[in-house]
Amino acid sequence: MKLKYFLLSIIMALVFSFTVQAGGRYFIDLDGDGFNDNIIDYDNNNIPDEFQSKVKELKTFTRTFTFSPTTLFADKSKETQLTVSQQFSLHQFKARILSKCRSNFDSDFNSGQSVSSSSSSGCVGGICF
Amino acid sequence: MKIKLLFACFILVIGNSIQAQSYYNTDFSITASNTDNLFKNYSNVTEHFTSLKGTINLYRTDIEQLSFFADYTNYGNNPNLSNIKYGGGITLLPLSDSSEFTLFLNLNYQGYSYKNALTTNSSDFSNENIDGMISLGYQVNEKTNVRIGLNSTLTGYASSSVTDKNLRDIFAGINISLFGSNAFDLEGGYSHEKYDYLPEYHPDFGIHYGIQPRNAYSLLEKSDLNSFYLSLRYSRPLGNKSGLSLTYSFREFTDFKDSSMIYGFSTGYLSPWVASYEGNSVQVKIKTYLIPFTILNFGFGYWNSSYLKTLELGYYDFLGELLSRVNTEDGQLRDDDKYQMFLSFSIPIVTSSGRLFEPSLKIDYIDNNSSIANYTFSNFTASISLNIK
Repeated sequence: MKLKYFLLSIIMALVFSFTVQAGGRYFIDLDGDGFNDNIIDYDNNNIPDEFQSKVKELKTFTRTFTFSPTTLFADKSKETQLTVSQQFSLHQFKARILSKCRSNFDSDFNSGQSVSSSSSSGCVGGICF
Repeated sequence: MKIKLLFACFILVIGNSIQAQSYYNTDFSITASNTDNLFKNYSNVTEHFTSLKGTINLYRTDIEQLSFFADYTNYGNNPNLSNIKYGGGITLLPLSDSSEFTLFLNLNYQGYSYKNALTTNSSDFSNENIDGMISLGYQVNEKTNVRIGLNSTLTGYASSSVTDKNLRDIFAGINISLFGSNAFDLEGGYSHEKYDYLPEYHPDFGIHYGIQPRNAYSLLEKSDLNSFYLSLRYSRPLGNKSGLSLTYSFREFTDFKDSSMIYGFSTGYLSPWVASYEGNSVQVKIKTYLIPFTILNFGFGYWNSSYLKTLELGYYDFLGELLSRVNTEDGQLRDDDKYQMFLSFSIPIVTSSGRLFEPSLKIDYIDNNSSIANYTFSNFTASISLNIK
């Protein structure tokens, strides 16, 4: 019983503790990763821009890449600069909560293995059992 | 088969060579994995396997996506498992961004082809999948979203003896932010599917010769399997660079016949319904950007699962061979307690041309305790992959 009260206390402390996170006036988390979905990710690498250095260089044997937000994303207000596929991605991002349901318990806990859906049931070679 | 391989090669070559353009993009990935328990049961079959996947997405407009993919997996120790998965799909998002409604329409086709048989008669289990989803969302205000949807999955087997699996879900959910940065997401749904079951079971002389792969299909009858589920998710930031997610889920059959049984894996009848279970689960996930340029995900989960009564063949150590003995002789229910954790690192790198390179490492550990000895196991799997978009 004490353990239940302890866990409940932790949860309540989490709920009522405020964390300031950038990304807009209102916090919204549709995909359930704990981050504000309004945080900007112009370079589309799944790391919000404020959490990474803007420019990083990596030299390879053959050429040099410059890692930086592309000019394509430099001004999000100019949507005409986005390609058709990028515009679709924006629509898709806004609809991500609609793209799957949680009827499969494991769908929200899949670590991405190709051999199995990370459940006690398995999928071997495409056959799920 | 040559056409399928040609199709796969085409997708892979295209996926790796062309640059992102206005009306299409590509996705190519290679994954190498190693596991100490491929089938996740008592057998502890070790395996290493490599998967190559290529996808091309086509866009005629900004509300429509056509996708085609090919995914080849090669198994090192069990080459007969090697297979190719291929297919395509269409996704429509027809409503404008200014609308408070969002409509999602999706239809996919997937086919599986095997290099050889998985079991004595597993060519029967080459299958094709068609799944579709229609869901509608409405933004009530800046902090509240509601949704409703229909999901349907049809798995058709190559053999006429194996009943196709047709699962339908209807679901509804609400996502709301409260007390600052706290997001709550509640979803409930109802599922319906047809399944094949064994209505009567009579062991003969203590050893159950009655169930054999050769006569397994003829003993089965068809019925409905209905269930409902509820899932509550809570998520919030932990500091500025980490996010926490807690999910509780519950599922229960509504009209399952207690006396009925289904076939399991080892009868040679690779039952599509073995994965059907009721129970509950708790999952905790943490995502963090604390390591520069790296996405780190950690998850821990617990599942309590009660499966359908299942008949399996048993393995006799003293004879050293598999006999047609049922290992659930007393009609014992399979009830599992599973603990699982995973850890993944990925380093996404975007080039100036807009192409994304993402190497990643994933490890996954499962500890499963079951009321049936065959399913008490542990499993450790590690994989490395490179994704190029």
